[in-house]
Amino acid sequence: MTRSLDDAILHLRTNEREIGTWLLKTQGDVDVTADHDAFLLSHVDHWAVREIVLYIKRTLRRLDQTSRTTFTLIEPGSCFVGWLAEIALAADRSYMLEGTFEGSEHTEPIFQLTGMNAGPLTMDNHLTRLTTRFWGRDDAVARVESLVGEPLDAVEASDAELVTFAYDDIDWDDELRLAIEERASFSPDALTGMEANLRFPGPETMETKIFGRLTAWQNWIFTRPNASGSDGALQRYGTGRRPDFDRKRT
Amino acid sequence: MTIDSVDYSTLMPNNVGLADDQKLLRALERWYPKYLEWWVDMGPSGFIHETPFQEADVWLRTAVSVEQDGWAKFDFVKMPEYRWGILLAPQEEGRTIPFGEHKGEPAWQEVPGAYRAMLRRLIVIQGDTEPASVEQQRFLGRTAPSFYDMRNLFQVNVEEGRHLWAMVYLLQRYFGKDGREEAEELLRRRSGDEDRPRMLGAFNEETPDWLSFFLFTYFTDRDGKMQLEALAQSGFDPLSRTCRFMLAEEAHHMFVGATGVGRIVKATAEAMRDAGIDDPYDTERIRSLGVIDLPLIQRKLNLHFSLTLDLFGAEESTNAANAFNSGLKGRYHETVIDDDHQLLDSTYPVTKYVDGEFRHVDVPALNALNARLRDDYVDDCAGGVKRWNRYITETGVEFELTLPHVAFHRQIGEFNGLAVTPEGGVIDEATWESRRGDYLPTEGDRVFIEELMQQVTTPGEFASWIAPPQKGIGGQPVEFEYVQIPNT
Repeated sequence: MTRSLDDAILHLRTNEREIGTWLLKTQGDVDVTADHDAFLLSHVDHWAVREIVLYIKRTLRRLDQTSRTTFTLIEPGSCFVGWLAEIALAADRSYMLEGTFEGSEHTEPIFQLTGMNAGPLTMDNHLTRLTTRFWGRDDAVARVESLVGEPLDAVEASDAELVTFAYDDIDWDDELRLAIEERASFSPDALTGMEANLRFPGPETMETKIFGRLTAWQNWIFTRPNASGSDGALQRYGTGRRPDFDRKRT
Repeated sequence: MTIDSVDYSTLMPNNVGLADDQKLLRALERWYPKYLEWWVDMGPSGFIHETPFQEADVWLRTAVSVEQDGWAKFDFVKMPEYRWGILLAPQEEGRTIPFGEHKGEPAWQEVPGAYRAMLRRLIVIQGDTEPASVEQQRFLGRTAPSFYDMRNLFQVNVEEGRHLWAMVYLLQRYFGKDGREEAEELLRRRSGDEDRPRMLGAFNEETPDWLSFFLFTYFTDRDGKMQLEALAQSGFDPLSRTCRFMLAEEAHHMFVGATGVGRIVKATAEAMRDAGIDDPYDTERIRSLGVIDLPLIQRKLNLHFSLTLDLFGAEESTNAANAFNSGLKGRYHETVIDDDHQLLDSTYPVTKYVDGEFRHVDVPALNALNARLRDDYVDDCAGGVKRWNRYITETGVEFELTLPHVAFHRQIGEFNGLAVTPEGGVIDEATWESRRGDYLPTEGDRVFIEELMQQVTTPGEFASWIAPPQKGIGGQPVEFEYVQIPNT
């Protein structure tokens, strides 16, 4: 599964450069996913398990370093548990459904942390995604780590600041459509810069300096044709005309 | 039921298929009690004899159809029981976006995500002015010069309330969660409140008396008309249809203003003639006749005109340019203007103060849209003033009411901070201040008007300072008892 995710990331990054927004979903059994995490954690000293966890870590880091907008959709039938929950934490935004869809065979979606979220899967800044998410708020990190093992519904996950938005089925389609369309209208380079910055607050490491926000710093954005080209945002600013963007992501 | 027929089966009359839209119905039903609470709290306040306005039967028109003729019917209604409805002008088959970057594309039936924030802002600002004017006018019933005028006031109030409904419909139907939040905020802000004021300056000023009310409905509602005309062009079709129907109601508000000021002018001019007073500045004698002297009317006019011009925003505006280019807000009579409707290369002459004089300066037309709408507005204002002056000349009194210069008494835009006389002369600040009482209403004026205006509660009778109208309203004669105290 990790290999499939890795392949998908690389494929989309290389071959589908105009697809600027990715919607990340999962599908599966919540308990099986939790058991899988527990199995990995109880055998970390075994060489094969160690390699698997490291591979998961690398793949998630690749997701962090992807210059695409990432929205996670936590819908009925999903299994955002443990290491799969890291996908939601890595995304620029996460949307979780309150309750379930009319006529859906599944019950309301669950978001659940496991031990995998509290240590082994660090980002390029050498911090866990939870620590990065609550950077500078140690009490908040401790609070969410105390939620490990607890199945959270949309309201609880939203109260715990683990998801960005919780909407009911009435609002779901409309809010998503508007958010995606809005995002797609922005400058791809500016988004790359903004996203890289927001994904990596806190201390720099060698990896973040090379792959992270410093490579997508404002000087880079400003010298791109989307900003300083003749139809770019800087030239068009104040004229009432919208810039023409090259939609390809880097 | 066809889509355009008005459904009276729900609490809210509508032609938007409310009964079949559970989501919207739920949102509106949650909002309705809060609206009623606001109406009772902030709507018309006062008594006729012992009866509160809100319990009186008022001869009101209620919108019942969206057809050009016969769209309203008159009946006695208690204001809190007024049927505020959601009515949109009929959908035009195959309508396309008439201007801007998307010109020629099919009009949007849903909010385009790229413009969500801009569109929401436009709707919220428009929506905010509707309840604000009800709040500003809430005490006027206490000094109404006749039942006829009291009815007109209440009619304007309930329809401004309906306009709020129209904007709230758009927010709740098309803007999801934050739309609902904005709809609640519209009821939480209060005109003139220090902590939660209304969004635009002129809507935080008091409407303390009936002359102000008539000038407000003439000048400020006319700005409302211009803004609605511009929004009625919108590529977002539901907004366009909503505004087109609102314009039908707005016409009556301007009628109230235009005839109201005219009747005051007429009362003054005729009283002067009958008393043999030639000098319009013989203030004391004129006022002793129980009418308002013409120079005071001019000062009030100066105030309302200049405050309203500020509502058009800065002459050169990037926001206006963006809204036009995106196809959200057009120009006055956009579809009959003969140009490319995209304005990428054209210019527009904007009046500016350069090197000690007012000059037309060409600026890119896209950026000058506010200036253009304002210029159209000033032209549109001139007609009523001309009619008012006719009342004066008919009596032989020599005086002319005029619109002040656009740079006079401005707080926003190009002329902010300039000391300009109503005639358009630029003078120094100190001199302007020393003449303030010649230009704008004074404390003495306020006291005089306050003492002059007393509630008249005999059907067919009018206060001394206002002439009766030429005819009644809603098929009734002038002396009809338009506001009645129910028998208990």
